Amino acid sequence: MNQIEQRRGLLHPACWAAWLLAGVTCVMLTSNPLYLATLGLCALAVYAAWRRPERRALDTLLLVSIGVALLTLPLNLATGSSGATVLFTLPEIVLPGWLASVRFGGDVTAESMLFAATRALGLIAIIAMVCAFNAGVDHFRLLRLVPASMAQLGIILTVGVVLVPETIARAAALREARIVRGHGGGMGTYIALLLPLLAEALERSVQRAESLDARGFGRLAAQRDPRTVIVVVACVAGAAIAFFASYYVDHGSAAFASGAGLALVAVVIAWRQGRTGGAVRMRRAPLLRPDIIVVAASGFAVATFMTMRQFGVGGLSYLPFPEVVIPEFGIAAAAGILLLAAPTLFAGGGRRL
Amino acid sequence: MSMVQARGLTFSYGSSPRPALRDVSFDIRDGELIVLAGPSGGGKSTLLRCINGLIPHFHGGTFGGEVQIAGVDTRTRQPRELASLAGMVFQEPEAQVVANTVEDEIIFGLENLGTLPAVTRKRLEEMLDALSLVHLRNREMTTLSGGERQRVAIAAVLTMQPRVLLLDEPTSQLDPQSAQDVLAKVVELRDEIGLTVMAAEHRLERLAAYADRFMTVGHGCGVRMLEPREAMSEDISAPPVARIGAALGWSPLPLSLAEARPFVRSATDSVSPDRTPISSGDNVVMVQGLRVTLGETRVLNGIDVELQAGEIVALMGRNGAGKTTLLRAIAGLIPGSRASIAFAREAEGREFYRHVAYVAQDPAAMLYASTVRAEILDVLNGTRRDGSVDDAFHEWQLHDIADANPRDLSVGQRQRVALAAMLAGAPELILLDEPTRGMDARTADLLVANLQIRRSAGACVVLASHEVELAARCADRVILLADGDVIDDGPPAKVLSGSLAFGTQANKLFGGDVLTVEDALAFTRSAEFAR
Repeated sequence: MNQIEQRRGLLHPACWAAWLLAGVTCVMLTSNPLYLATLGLCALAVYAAWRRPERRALDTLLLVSIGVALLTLPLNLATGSSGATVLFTLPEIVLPGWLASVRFGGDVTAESMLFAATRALGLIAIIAMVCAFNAGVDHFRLLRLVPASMAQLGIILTVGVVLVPETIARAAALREARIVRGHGGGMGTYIALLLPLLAEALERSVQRAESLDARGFGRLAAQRDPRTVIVVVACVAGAAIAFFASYYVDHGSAAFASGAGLALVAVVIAWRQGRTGGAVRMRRAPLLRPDIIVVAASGFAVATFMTMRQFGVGGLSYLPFPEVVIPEFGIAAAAGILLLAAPTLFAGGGRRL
Repeated sequence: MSMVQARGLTFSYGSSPRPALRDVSFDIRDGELIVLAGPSGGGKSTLLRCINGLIPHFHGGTFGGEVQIAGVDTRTRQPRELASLAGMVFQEPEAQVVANTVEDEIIFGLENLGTLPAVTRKRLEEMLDALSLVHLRNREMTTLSGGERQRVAIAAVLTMQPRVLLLDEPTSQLDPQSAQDVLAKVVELRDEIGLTVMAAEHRLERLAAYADRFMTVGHGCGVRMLEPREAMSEDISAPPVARIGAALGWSPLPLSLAEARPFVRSATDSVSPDRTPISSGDNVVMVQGLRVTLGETRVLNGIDVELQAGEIVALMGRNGAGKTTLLRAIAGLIPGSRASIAFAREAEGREFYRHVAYVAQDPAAMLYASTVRAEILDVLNGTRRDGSVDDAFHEWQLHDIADANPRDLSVGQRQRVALAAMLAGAPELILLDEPTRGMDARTADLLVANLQIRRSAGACVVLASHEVELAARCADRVILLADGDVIDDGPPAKVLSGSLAFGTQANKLFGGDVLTVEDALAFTRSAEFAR
């Protein structure tokens, strides 16, 4: 008599995880600024569609992260430039001999500027994806997908997931305390409060972990056959090795594709192994039609990018050196990216297919 | 049969030189309801954590002796394995939320225990009904008020049907009616299924009558187990009926209104006119047509209130009535809706807070310095109020913990530090949100005395509180809020008397304008009572 979970217009957490994975993979597969910008816009569209007042804290996170990503721009420019088109020259700081390989200042070229901007774009695209994911996903239900044998991981995940929005909320409370205590609420406040805020966030995390433990989280896993745990750990370790080894050998080649595929299989085995004997859910949470559409769209997007990368078409790789050229913008890649906007179709709860 | 047993239990936290518990031994029988009493920071929370195994498994420190629950030694099992034996509701409901929605939060524990889905569903429905949470079942946890969250936290633990229920200040954030509902449910479970309950609680009006025994936990010493009447005849946190009974020599000592009623020969319905506010009449705060909308919810719809210098005003009303919002608006913390404040009308920023002190509901959130001394200095420097750190130490008896880090103190102690810091100097308008939440009786006495001194010095004090007895003891005026409107405003004798939810025990016994223990004793000496 296992009932079906009513999700009230939310997408399945596994579907969100698949979307995020697909998005991040696409960002990692391309260095073309036009594609990266499109990916970023796509992610922002999904975020805008799924944004909710209860998670207003994510707005702050998004803005701060974009600010930090933009900060890497001048840093990149200041610490070294090469390329043909010199835009202007910064005073160069002469460093002692043992630091000769590090440059500081000097010529700033259009090429290095574009290169730095591309990297910042990639970072912003990933941040926007993480924010969209956090806005849409039900963290608790995501946590329940974590295999029972990884209960410790689950605790870390929960505590981590709650930490950011909660810290932002605490920051607001502490800022208010500063105002009431006659110190005003300006920018200086945040600097003064950084340490107490971290201490408080840490304390809250401990309390939450305590609460998870006291309510039996991971209890069934502890009573299980240790051999399953070994299988799970081995699979995860194998997956990680397969993924990184093949990436190291040559990312964008058949070796990487097969390595990544192998890693995926290992993770799925670990997941299924780990799930047996876990907590018993009151309601089943099957993938519904919108979930399947989003997962399929994400899969197509990644497949498009991987195929293009494999055959070297579509201009996924882009390097502005030695001289700036206009990056390629292919219809196939653009269509692949647009598929990643699929979650926007199902935002707002009411509209179901 | 012994349900919980401790032998020579000693524990000190890693960082502390003094043990939090020293040589504690006790036996608690199956189905007993034990009330843990004792001062803040005395070790009540620590003791409860020892019983469900969080100590020694989760917290570092030196652990000695042993604790057994249902015959299981807590040292041999992890807290998660003890979860089906001992269910714990923590002091701060904000910090124990795991799931996003109310339903998920309530069934979280059951799912971890591997309960069959059909059983889980049934228990979920039962619990939603029992604690009146049906209308909240699909709400997100972040949208609940403090009191609602506390009820969900209790439901989440009760669904697991533990053998022992550990409650750390379970009603600190609840309005009187909700507190009554929650405790009634706990007592019902004790009576019907033999649930063993250990509750740390400062507000004893409701719980004292149901307690089988009291356990007093003092600073780093052992515990004393007392019969309720024995405990209540000497404890300063005894409920008003018990104090009236003790003063008048009623025997057996009544612990509830029902037990006291036979001793009362006559009641009164007269309200004497001399209890009108003694205020100078100068308006300090003028709130006119204050409307506040938070998100999409209208919290206050057009409040008109004038507050005078030299009066203590209690803001009362059920959870979510708008008390906190009104206080925050007066404190200038809600942009665009500032009340007009007489002496500080033109003042901004620092200058404004030189005159106005505000203590939020969660006092821990207002502290950020590294020592108690630094907290107080920071406020004096920031607000440029005249005052000294030593005065604050003296007023709030903080000498012992002057150099402690507020983070290492108990919730109750932090509250005392927050009060000392925020009220340092001589602010003329004092705004307190739930100042007695989790506060022991001794500190509450300190607070009342302090507020009375400030009132006679001409300050205006506004306190939002669920605690009827507190309002009766010190307020000159009570403002009752409901759904964002002022529904009653007047002297306590008028507002609090004859109310089912907001009446004090003394008032329910003697009627009329009798509100406090002192009123009751005066009344029993009067001619009307003798008649």
